[in-house]
Amino acid sequence: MKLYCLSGHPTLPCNVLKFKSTTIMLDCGLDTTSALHFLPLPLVHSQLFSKLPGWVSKDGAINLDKELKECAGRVFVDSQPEFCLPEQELLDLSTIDVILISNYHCMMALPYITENTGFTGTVYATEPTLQIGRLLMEELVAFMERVPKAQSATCWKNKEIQRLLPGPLKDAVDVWAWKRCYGTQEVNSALSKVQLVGYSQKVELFGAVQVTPLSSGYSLGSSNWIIQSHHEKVSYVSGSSLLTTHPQPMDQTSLKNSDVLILTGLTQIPTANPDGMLGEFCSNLAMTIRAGGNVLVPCYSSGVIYDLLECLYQFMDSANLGSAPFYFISPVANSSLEFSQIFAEWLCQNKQSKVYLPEPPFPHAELIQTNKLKHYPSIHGDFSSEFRQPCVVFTGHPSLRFGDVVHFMELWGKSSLNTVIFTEPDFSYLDALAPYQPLAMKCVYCPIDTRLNFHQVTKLLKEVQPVHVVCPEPYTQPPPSQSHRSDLMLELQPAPMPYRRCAVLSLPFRRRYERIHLLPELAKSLVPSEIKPGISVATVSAVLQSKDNKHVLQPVPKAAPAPPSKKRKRVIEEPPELLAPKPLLSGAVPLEPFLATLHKHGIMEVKVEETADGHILHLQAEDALIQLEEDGTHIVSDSEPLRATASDKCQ
Amino acid sequence: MDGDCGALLPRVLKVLADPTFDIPDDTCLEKLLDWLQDQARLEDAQSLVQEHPCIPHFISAVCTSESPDAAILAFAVKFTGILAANEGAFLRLDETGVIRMVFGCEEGIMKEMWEDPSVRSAWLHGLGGLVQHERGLRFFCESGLNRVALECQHDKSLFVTSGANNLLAHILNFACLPQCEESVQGDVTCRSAWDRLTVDIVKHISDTLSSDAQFQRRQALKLLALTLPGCRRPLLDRLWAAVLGPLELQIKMEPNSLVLPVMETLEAASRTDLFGQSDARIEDLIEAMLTSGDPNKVIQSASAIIHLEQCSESLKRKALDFILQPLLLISSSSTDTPSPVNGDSVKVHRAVLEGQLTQKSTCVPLLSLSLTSVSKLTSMEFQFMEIPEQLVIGAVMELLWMCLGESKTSTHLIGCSRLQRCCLDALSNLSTCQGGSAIRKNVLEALYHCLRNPDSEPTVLQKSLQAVLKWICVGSYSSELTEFLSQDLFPVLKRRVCDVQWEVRDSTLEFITQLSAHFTDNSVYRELLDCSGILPLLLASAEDGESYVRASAIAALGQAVTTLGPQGVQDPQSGLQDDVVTRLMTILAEDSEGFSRRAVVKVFTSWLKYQDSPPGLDLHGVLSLGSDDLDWEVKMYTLELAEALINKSLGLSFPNEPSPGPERPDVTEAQKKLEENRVLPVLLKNLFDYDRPVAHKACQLLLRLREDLGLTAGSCDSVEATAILGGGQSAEEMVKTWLKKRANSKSTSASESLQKTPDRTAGACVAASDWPTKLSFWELLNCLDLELRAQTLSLSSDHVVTSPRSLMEDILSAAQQSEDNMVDCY
Repeated sequence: MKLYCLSGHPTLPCNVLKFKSTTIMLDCGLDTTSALHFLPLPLVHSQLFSKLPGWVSKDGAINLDKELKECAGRVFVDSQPEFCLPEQELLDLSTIDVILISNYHCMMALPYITENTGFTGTVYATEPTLQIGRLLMEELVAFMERVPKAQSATCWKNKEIQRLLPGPLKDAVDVWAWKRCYGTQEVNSALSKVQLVGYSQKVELFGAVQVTPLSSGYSLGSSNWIIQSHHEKVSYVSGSSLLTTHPQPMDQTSLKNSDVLILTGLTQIPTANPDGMLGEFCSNLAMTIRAGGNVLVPCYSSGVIYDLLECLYQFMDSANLGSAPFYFISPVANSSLEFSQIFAEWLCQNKQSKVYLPEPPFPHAELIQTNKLKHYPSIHGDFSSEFRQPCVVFTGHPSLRFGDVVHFMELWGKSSLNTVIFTEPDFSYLDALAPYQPLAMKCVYCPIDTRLNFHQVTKLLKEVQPVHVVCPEPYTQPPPSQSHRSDLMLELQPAPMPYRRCAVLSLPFRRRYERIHLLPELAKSLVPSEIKPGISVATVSAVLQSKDNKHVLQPVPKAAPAPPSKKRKRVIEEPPELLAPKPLLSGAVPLEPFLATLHKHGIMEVKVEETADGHILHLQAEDALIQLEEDGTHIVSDSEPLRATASDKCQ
Repeated sequence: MDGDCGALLPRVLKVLADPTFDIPDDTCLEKLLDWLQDQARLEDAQSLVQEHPCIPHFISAVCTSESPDAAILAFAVKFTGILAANEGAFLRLDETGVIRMVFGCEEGIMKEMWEDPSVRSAWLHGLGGLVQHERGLRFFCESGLNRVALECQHDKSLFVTSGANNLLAHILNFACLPQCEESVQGDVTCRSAWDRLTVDIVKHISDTLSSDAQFQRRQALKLLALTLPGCRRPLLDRLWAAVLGPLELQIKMEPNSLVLPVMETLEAASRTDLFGQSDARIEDLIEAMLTSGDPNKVIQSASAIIHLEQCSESLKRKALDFILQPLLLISSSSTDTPSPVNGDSVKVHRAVLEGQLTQKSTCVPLLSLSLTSVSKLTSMEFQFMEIPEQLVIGAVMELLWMCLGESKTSTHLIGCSRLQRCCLDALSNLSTCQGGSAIRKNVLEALYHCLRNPDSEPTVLQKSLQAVLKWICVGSYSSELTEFLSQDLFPVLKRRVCDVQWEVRDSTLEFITQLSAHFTDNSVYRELLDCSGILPLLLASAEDGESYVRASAIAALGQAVTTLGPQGVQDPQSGLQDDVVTRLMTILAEDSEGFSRRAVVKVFTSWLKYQDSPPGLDLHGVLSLGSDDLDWEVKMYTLELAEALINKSLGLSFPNEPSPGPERPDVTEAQKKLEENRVLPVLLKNLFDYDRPVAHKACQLLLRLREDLGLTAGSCDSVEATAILGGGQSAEEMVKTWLKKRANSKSTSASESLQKTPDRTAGACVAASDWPTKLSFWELLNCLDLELRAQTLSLSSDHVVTSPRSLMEDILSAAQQSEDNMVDCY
């Protein structure tokens, strides 16, 4: 069993598991932090970004003024933002049988995997994951296509040039693997390969393994996955939450007794408690509105925004937020708000029960009815005529590099009355703000990450008790900024296996058993003899048929009926079709007799090496290797006669 | 005993003695007993028994009844004890045989009802009364009641054991009284009985202390702690000699679960003459309490030792080491500073302690205990002896940093709000330590982090704010403080004023009020407050959804205006005061909750007290709205505002304020001012208010006004009635109605008034029907019978209901009803 790690990002994983002749990709997250190296894409003509000086190296030797611009003391790439894809070279993507998606944030690289790679498999995801994932992809495409950039900067990626660039551009890695955003067609094609599944639904993969999504409590339709055969169980935990937010609670019990648990998607801000951050968010928002300022919340169009709106709904009256309107601006704003209301079965019990009243599960419906929350596809059109200040604007993209948020940053950045509140933990807010400096508006960082923290995950692992845990490398040490916080890492016994990008891990457990069915007629013919109370053994002579990874023992076909007597003699002369079965092979090959036998056959120079599981024999003259283990013997040799001889002698 | 009650008592006692009577509510028996006890104290109990033969009759009737109610029996027993406390009454009752009937618990009804704990408890209480004199005590000895009393000391019921402890402690102490010893001295029989009694009790205590049952040992310790303070030699020596051995064993016992009762006993012993005596070994025993293996118990003992009056400095220092050790140990592990607590005694303890400090479950209670003890220490004179206070403060701060997750070690305490609360309490108390100003900056920084931490609980925030206030007051004002206020505190306060949790908003607003009040005279603070941007937020908070928060915001606004003073608020650009006044008037008129309206009136009152009335403030409007309010407290505060106005007009000082200059304004001038604001109609209207406290306050103010204005018949001119009564109908109507009612109810009132009132005005005042068009202040006030009214109003509204007469009538009517019900049933 092997794990190919195509992404090192702990919360945007992309791993491939090879298990029992199946190749399963676990998530395909897209790392968009690379966009931070690019200049923002303004929706309207921007005075700030249109007149930036090009970058020229100090000695004037390198002039990339078309590609690189200097802004606020840093150098940015003036091109359409590019994203860091999962590793494509480690594995032939066309060999992937299935892709399991755990939540809509972890599928953004799907078109890069399924399109133009020869991928012929199936993608499994829950319905909300598919629909909201589609919205997020469409939003991303819309953000990019709305403001097309003709040029694509590539010269700066030249290793020799990049080395001379100022930081942080100089330190960017794998820049050649960065790709521009996909298009609508690729999105549609990729999503057409998705097959919908429900929680706890068992899906058979080629008869070899069964995969099952479990509720993970993080977002609408988010799942952890169980991949199991008859005797092995692998759990894949990605983006889970134990907090009471809108999704169905996490199913923990089904994760018990796993041989391997692959753990990804823990909280990115382990020191920030979501409740406290939600409180901070509300108080900063209220403070700005009361003082007559505007609030900008750069966020994704789905996910935490539902909780933010719900929290504000409860807070509005007591906080005396007055008549300040809330605007939600996104190409998919309407669909996102409406979709959230129709996925009742994927919501927590509290919200589900509202549907039967009947009431909309989320209170944002009421905010919309009372005109407190208004949503628009973009800043153009209706919004520009209805826009009223002071107000609260929720819009994307949280990287502040594209989307309507760029416009608001330029519009409000100059006044200290306004506040930008960062709630998404994916981007460093200081890096996001870099091209907008100097900035008069207040900046507040309230990252709300409801995913499991280290305390919760330690408790969870104690309960579910997996034999082995595999996790991204950063989880095995405290965060670099807080090296003393030993509580912000995974401390387990045995220690978890860490992985990083491009790593290939051999998972440390050996498959010992395989299920084989006995056909009833064969079973009838068995004569068990009891060797000790409760245990009987019987010898079985049968034909093993393996098909679609299912193994069946069938009775040995009977000898052909005796031909007419005249041919009897001939029959007798010929060896019978089926002789008595050969002695059954079982147990380890005894070393000493085997060496003696080899010696008898003229193999004299044998060097014996003792291993953990048995012995390795070097047949030095023959340049061959015989590996003797408890449950298997391997003969490695180029000489077929030697191999046959050795094989015979083993028996 | 007044006649009415005296007449009712026989009937009541008869009802109570009736076994068929079902007591409606047993608190009535308690009330009756309280009243009877007062009577026995005020009058002579002997004469009470003599004058009311129904009393012994009642007691014997209850005791001879076949199946009395346990509550009635208990009542009768306690009552007998109250009476028997008087020697004369005791003799009288003894003659009738009642005493034996009641206290002879081994026969008669007492034996039958003995199983009921309330009866046993009453018996012990009764005996407590009986043994107040030598005769009673002799009865106690002769009847052999001590055996039963000692048994009761091990009773299952805590009430009974507590009663027994009090009784036995009293007996031992009574035996020590000189007058008692003298009287006993002469009587040989009595003396031997006496000696036997004390020997029995002392032996009982000693035996019980050695008992295996923890409950019994606890009771013995309690009895000992009760006895020791009043015990004198030679009994004291005998007692101590008997208990010393078992007490030592108890102290050495592991685990010692009786640390607190043992310490209480040792504390009591330390206050006796035994303390200085070397063979009594009290200090040794106290010191031995510090050797327990459980650090929690040691700190409990150490904390008690510190508070002992008579205790050597060295022992106190040792106790202090134990208290501070957990705190200094955990904080020094992160700062690497050597702990000053390194005595040999502490070293043995250290290993256990270190183990406990690494586990959250044991560490938190231990540190909480240490911090609580530190908090208590700050109120004591000797404080930390030679241990520098700054080190202790530093350790508390370090612990606070650990809870905030900013420390390099001990991650197991992160987010522990229980410890944070203890740290903050300790820090608040430590602000009074010497040398605090040197580390004020560091403390304020730690507190600022608590305030800023998004995960801080409301109680933690509230305590942080209070600690900030205390530490800001430490030392003199400096530029460092300005920096803290403007860069750290105000920004975080602004955010907390808008917090999601109303408790946080409320405590922040309260803090802003206190802060502004503290810095009223500080011009730098005024400037900072003006520029901080907090004021618009306060104005917005006055419309908060939560009424408590609105009330706090109003108080904060009021204080801000007071602090900013004329310079700040009269800035035409800011217009703050106008805004505030308008907002407050709207709240007073429209707010649905009493809290906010009360706060508004209080703000206006404080403005009026400490500065001139703001130019835009319509005081008449405030008085009128306030006195019409539905909430009685708003009306009370409105009367306080009226009082402030009266004081201001008369040039009088307010309590806690320097008195004004010698010249007082002209009475006519003052009267004119009051007329302008129409104070009198408000007072008159409230004089007839249905809420008694409001009417009472109005009455007092009117009386004061009459006195302060020095009004006499000829001192003021008659003016138009409307000028006094405010033109509105209500005050006038009320006065008229009241006069009419009075005239009807008291036919003599007219003639009385006529007699009291000089001729010129008499007719005008009393005849409500022909109301004069002109009258004077004095005339009006005089005809209202203010003194009589004040007297009536000063009685609590339930004075009739709580009177003994009412109580007895209730008992009688309950008996009547139960009879009626029985008739109904048939």
